[in-house]
Amino acid sequence: MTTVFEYILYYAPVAVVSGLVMGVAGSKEFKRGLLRGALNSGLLIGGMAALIFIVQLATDPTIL
Amino acid sequence: MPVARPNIPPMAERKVNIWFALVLGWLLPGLGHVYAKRQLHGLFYFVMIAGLYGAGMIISYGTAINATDHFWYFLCQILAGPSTFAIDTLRHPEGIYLGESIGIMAHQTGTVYAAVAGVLNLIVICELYRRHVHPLEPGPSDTMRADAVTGKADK
Repeated sequence: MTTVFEYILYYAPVAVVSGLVMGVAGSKEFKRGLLRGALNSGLLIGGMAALIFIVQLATDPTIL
Repeated sequence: MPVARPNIPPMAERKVNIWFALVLGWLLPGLGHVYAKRQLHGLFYFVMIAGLYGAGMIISYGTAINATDHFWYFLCQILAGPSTFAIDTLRHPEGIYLGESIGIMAHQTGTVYAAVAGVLNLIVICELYRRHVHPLEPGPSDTMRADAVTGKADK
């Protein structure tokens, strides 16, 4: 389980920055873009965490 | 039909050479936006993209850029700016000692950080072009019901 958290910690900044940049880039207004970017970031982190967890679980089922 | 706000004229009316702006955007993330008089966007993109690129370099102790060992990542990293070429040229040919001087996780993460920064810069450059060609068109992020959250829907 430690590896899962380690991976999430390492890659969370990428998800946050990507979400924010894509949100701002996709909006006419900066503030609205940030709002959408925050939502993007949350979704990216959630999806990434789920994916990492599934891969780690498949690699080592004893982590649970 | 959307109407431009009077204090922010569309980019097409600002006498901006879009091709020059796009090149500037590649030379330094966000610089193209600053040239196109979108200072806030330019500063935001610079902090985010250059920050991610720099963080990747720091985490990986400068081993993130390596055209020989991971060429496809290198292609993505080039999109973040010409400094990638300089870093790859300056890198010592045997600069990576995985498991000895640097862990695989740190190297891997730094490489991904720099590559994602490059891809994000491409997205930002495309956004600059799109905003120039279609200044009034709503983007993908404008489709959400953000007005309901910000209270603009009531006005």
